[in-house]
Amino acid sequence: MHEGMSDEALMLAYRDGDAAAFEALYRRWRSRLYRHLLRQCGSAAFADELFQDIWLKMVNARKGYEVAAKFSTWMFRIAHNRLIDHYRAQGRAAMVSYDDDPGDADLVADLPAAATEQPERLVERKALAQELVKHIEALPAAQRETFLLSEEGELTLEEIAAATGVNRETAKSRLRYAVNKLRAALKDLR
Amino acid sequence: MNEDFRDEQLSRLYREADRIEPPRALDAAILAAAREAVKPAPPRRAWWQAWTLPMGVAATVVLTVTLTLMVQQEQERPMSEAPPTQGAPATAPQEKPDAAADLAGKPAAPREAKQEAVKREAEGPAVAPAPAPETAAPAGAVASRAPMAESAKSVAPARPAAVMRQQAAPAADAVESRAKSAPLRKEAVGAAPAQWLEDIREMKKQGKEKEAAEALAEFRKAYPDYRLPEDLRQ
Repeated sequence: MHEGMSDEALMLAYRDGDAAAFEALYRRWRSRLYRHLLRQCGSAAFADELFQDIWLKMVNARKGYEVAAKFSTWMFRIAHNRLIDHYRAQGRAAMVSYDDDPGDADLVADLPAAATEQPERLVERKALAQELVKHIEALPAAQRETFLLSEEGELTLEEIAAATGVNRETAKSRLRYAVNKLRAALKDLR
Repeated sequence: MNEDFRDEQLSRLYREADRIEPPRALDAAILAAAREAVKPAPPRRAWWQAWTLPMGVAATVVLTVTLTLMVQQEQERPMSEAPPTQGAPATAPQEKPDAAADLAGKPAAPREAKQEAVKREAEGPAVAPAPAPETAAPAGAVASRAPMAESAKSVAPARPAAVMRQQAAPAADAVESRAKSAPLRKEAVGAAPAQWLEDIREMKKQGKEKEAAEALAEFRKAYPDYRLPEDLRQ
C-alpha cells in the first residue's frame, strides 16, 4: 500500500494519522541512518541513543512537517544537529576541527582502478572493506559526515550542504577531501 | 549525484562492509512510540455523562432517606395523633362498628379495632352495637379523649359540627368521671363495653350485687344508649 509512495508522501500521511506510513518510512531509512550514526560516534550505545532520539524528534515534529525539502535531507539535518549536541556533551573538540585538510586534492586521479571481482578475492575484499570503515571513522568529523551523507543518505552536494548548514562549495570540498584520503588509504593497503 | 567526486569503486567497497542494523528492541520502541503518537484519543464524554454516576447515587440516597422518614412518620402517627375512639360510640350506639369507625375518623382507626368489632358482632346481639374504637383505645388514652373528640370533628366533615360536639363532649365527660371512680371502673373504662358488662356479670355471679349495681349504673352513665343484655336489665 505504501510501497510506491515517496518519503515525503509517507511523512505527510503519518502527519495525518497513518501509523503504517511511518513504519514504511522507518523500514526504508532505519539501517542507513543507524550506520551513519554508528560510523560517526564510534559506539553502538551512543548510536542507539542518537538513533532513537532522532526518530522520536521526527515523530514529535510531524504536526509541523511540510515538504520544504527531501525527507532524507530533513532527517539528516536533524541527525546533524543531534550529533553536534552529542559531540559537545562528550567534549570532543574534534567536531570543531571541521578542517578541510586541502593537502591531497590530486589523489583522486592517482587512485588505482578497483580490483577485479574474482571469487578468490572476496575474503580479501571483505577485510579491505572493514579497513575502509576504520579509515572512514578516522576522517575529520566534517569530512566523515559529508562522506557518509553521500554514501548512506545518497544526498547530492546541495542536499548535503542543506543538511549540514554549509554552502555547496564547502560540502563539495569536504567530500573531495574525504574521498581522496580514503583512496590514498586503500592504495597503501594494496 | 556527486558525479565529480563520488567514486563508484569506493562506494561498492564500502557497501561490502558489515551492514550493521539497529537492534530489534530499538525498532519496536520507536514504532510503538510512533503509533502511540497518532493513536486517536478516546472521545471525551460530555460533562453531564461524567456526572451520571454520582448523580444517580445521590438521587438514590435522597430517595431512600425520604422514604425511610415517611415510613417512620406513618408508623408514629397512630401513637401520637390517633383520632378519638371513645366519643363516637356515645352518639351512634346503634350503628354498625364500621359506621362508628367512620364517624371517628376512618383513616386513623386501627385495623385491630375493626377486627375486634367484627368479633363482638359475632358474639351476639348483646355486644353487637359495641363501638370499635372503644376496644382499640388504650387505657392511657383516656386523658386525651376530649382533644380527640375535637379531632373527630375535624375528620368527619359530613356530620354537622354542633352534633359532633354534643356527641363527643358527654362521652368524654363520662369517661373522665369513670376514670376518677373505683378501681373496677377504671379498669372497665379501659375495657370494651362488652368486657365491662362481662365483668359486671362476673361480679353478680360472685354475689357482689352492690358493686355490680354500681358498675352497671356507671356503665349506663357512660353508654346511655347501649342496649343491655337481658340478664343485666333488672
